[in-house]
Amino acid sequence: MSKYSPTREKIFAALRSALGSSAASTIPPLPDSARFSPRNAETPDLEVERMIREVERLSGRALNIRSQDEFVRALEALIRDEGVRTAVLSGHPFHESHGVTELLKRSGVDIVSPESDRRRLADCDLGITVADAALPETGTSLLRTTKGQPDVLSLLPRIHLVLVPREALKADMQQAFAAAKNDRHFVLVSGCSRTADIEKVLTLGVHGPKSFHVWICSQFN
Amino acid sequence: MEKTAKIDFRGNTRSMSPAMVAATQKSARTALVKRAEVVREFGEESWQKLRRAGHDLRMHAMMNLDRYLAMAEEKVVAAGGQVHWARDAEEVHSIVLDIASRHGVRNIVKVKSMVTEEIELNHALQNRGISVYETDLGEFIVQMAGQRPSHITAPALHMTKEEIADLFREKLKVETTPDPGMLTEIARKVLREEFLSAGMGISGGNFLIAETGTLVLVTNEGNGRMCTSLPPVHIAIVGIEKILPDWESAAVMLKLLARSVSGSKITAYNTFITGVREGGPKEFHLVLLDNGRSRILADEKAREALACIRCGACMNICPVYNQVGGHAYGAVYPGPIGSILTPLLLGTGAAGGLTFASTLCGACSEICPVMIPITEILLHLRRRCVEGDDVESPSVSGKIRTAARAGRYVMESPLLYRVAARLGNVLLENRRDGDWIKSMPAPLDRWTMSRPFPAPEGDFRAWWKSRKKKKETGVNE
Repeated sequence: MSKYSPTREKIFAALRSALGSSAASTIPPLPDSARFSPRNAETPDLEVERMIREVERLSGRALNIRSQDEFVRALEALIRDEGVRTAVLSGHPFHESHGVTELLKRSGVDIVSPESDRRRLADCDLGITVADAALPETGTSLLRTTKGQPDVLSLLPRIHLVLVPREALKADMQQAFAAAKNDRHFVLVSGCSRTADIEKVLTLGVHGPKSFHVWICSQFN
Repeated sequence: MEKTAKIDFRGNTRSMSPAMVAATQKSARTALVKRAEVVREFGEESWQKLRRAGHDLRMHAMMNLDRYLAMAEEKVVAAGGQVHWARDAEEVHSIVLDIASRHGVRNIVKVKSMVTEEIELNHALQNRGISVYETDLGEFIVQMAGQRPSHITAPALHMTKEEIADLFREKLKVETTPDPGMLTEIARKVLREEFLSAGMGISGGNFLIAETGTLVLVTNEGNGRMCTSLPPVHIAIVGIEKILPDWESAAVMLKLLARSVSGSKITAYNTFITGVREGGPKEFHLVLLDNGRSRILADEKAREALACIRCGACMNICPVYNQVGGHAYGAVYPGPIGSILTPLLLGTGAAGGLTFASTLCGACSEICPVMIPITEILLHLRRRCVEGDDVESPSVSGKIRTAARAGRYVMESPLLYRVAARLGNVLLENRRDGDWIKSMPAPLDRWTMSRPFPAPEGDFRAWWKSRKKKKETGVNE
């Protein structure tokens, strides 16, 4: 007896009869015309500029952070301007090497564990993630989903801050996919949660974050 | 099999309100202007190459569909997911109900999905006492209003903010002004509670990447991520034609899709899900649905319709859609793509009339990101309608067939044509009222009943001859 359900067998029989193919035949390679050459990167500085420009086009706020001092100042400003009282950080070595937790605590922000109850995460003001790749072409950050960086961390809090190591910038989606395609889950994030379902009026923060920040961080300590 | 009710496009157009048509045009125009901008930025030549790649990779996937599906299935199972196969709506209903009852699910949150509209899933679930929340804002509104989406990517475009505010006041018992921001905030509060407490999330899928068995969800609002990350069970219902060969193909398709839908370079969120993961839903079920797709694949002249990625660009640009709105098409897929997909899925007997709801201007084929030759398929289907096919009986009467044959006979003979044209002019002269002909004898009165017919300004042949003579004598007109 077949290991497959009769329904599956019937669908496959219909497909093979439609195509005149057989189960045994192998798949031919894709024709060259089905491929599209990936975008080429500009100079690193221009790529950073483009990333910033595109994030801002998506109603996000983007910064190029070149020193620990700048990082501290930016974080303090964010906490002040957005009224941040609670924050959740992904379990990424970047946070530790830059003392992010201490900086937040010093500013009076309560730290919530990424593994805590989802309702706690939903009540959290700020979620901070670290991008595994970023695409200047579209202002996109690629976030791999891990135990320390669950999907909801960049979704439930009302503010989302992505830290993008400068070397994570990739010219094209194809390069970004190469690193993450064998993951069980990842997400490309480009701006705030948004909708234009009512009379085509753009409204930010329909289900996810209402405020979106991207900081491109050069190597510093 | 149950016989589907015949779609009366012409009849439907009579009940459309001018306000709805105006909203449709406004929405379509906004999307088209933005699309033109991003395409210009991408470069016209590159865009055409990208469309070619999109078309060729989608057709390569279709021509090897059985093998790519087997590959995707194997990868999903290896990643801890469960794969189910369904031939029609009823089979999906029983698969989903079975999983829901196994987990004692009472509340479901749903991501907007055309395929679940196609199989009327919500109806089947609600009949069993399970509540289903559509969580895409537009779909949430349409569901509350008890209507059908009028556009595949902007389901509530036919409603004004005032109507939506009235609906919220009535159904959600809230006080609100007709402000899109305030209405969105109310929906956010209501739905967030549903996301956090739902027993199951249901999604469709924009693509299924065979290489790794990865489901791709393209969204803007974040509800897609909520529905597929928060509830303990995730069921994805995906048409078998959604397959992509590999990740390189996915990069091509994502570049085409967002630009074509709304003129964005990318949507806010693209989610990539492969089986089950630590910290995610405990179970991932992938339901692969045929529902007439293998039959479309068997029709060599129509199979390119399967390449469709549901972007809605063909609707936005269609002069007919823009005059009548999405509801006139009487089915889940409106506009030009609906005029071919609906008859292909439901049979020409039920939906053959839709193939005539087109001027054949070809704008749809030109804007289509995967270059579906919509007009050619329309003509092919019209032929199938007239000649009859093995799907359903012909929907065009013998009278029209005889008239068409007589017409061909006249057109083929220059002499007969000239005589008929003269005769026509003479007959029309009596019915002329200024520039218009107000009424014509049956069966031509079908036109003059609803709109005026322009009277000919003169005899074309005579005009052409005099024009030639003037040219020879150097007189410019």
